[in-house]
Amino acid sequence: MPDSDQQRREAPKPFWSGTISFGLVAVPVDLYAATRSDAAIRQRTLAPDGTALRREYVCPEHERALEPDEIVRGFELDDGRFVVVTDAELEALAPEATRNIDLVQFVPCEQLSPMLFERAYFLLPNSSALKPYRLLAEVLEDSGRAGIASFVMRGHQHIVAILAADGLLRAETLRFVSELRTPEDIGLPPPPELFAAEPVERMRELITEHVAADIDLDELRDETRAQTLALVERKLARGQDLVAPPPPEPGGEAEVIDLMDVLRRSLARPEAG
Amino acid sequence: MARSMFNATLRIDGFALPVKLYAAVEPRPVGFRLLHASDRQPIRQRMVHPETGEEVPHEAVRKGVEMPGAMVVLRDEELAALEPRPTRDIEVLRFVEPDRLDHRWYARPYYLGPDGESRDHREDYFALARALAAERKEGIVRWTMRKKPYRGALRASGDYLVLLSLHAAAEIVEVGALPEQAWPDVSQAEQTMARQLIAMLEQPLDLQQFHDRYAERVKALVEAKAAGLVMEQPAAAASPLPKPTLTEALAASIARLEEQRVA
Repeated sequence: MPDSDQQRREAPKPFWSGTISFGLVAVPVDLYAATRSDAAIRQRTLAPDGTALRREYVCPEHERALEPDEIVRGFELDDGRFVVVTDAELEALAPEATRNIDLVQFVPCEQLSPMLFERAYFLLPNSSALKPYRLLAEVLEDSGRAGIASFVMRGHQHIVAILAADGLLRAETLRFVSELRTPEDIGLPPPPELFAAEPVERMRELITEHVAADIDLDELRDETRAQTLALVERKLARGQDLVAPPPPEPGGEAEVIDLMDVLRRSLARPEAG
Repeated sequence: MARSMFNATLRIDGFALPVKLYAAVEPRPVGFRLLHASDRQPIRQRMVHPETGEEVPHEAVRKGVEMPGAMVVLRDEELAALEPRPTRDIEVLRFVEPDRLDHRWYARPYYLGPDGESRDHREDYFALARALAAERKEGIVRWTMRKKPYRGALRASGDYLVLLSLHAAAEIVEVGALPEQAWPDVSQAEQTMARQLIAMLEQPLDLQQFHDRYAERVKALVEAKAAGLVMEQPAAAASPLPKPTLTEALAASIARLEEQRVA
């Protein structure tokens, strides 16, 4: 299982580039995603005969599928009216697209609660000037600091923390304060005025008894994913319940239909009721 | 008062604590809907058979996994067998130092609240939060919710317990997957200046100053259009790119900050 898993993991590619600046120092960088959605298990929705379904957008009034150019974006007002906003109008509002990540403050990393963490990225140098990158990465990693900035990516504004680990710069977009609920917002009860020492001591002992030196990656695997993958590979090897995958391009349609006829005969599942 | 998403029992070895799980992130208000341009009717999505154009109702839909060369169809009984055993246990497997999981792992935050029924439970809850903070440890946790397995980190946040769901190990991009770099050496002088510059820019963490200005502008545009007004577009700010050498840039940055302090 690990081999086929690795094959499916392609080398990550940069999807955005910009410049980190602190003071007058410029560090041009490329952004790479540091997490991937599960590419190995691409679940599709199928018709009873095994054909991959297509998503359609339908107007309830006219009862027909719409072409992309018939669809607009609308913001709903309180009175139920819609205000149409075009792509061009939204782009014009997009904050200064200078591709700058201007680090205006630095904080110790421990001050950043993981509750703020939204999405992680790797940053790699995007120029032959590797020195400023290396300098920033070394100093941040040695001092345990993170730089905080506001920046624009793909037309959206984000708060970002720039930190370093394993000699590489990382970025972590942070949630806006307004997005995080407080215990008061949720209505959690307040803590007691006085804390008895004994229950806290008991809990501390309980924790200490179960401390380990490191995480165990086996505990951090998604068992459902592993089981699904194992099942799917077994069925593939046995030729069980197989249909043709959806065609990548319109060109090969004729061939695909013939193959589907052949494969449908091997679909052993009883007909849906 | 928010409604609990899930009533559960936190377990550490033999210790059991009834808790309620709450989302810690405010769901973002749905910004927009897709409309049919001609009559501004909100559109509906449907799944159709690509050949017949017929809609396939939800109950008749099958699931398949796309593999190289074939689509593997999953039978109902197979899908049922893949679902994790339903349980309301949030099980702590171990405690570790907080630096064991780097920032890439964290996905979504949840609050755990005490299950308000008994005073002992409430006392245990706040005692556990205080103990976790005092020990400076993080619990590695597994639970099941909505027919999916979850992994998480149990932490203290102020007086309360929080659960941070974690990505699966397979979803974390390893450093080794990235292209290699040939790193140059950095001089002691450059390091010293960079450290000095960063120290001068150090401040207590203040995230309140950051607003989603883009979302605010979109809201203003929508309101202006609704009122029949025309919006002035904000001018994009030009930002000259600096071209000094690294040492010059460091020195100049420090000098500039020092001047600002004196002024």
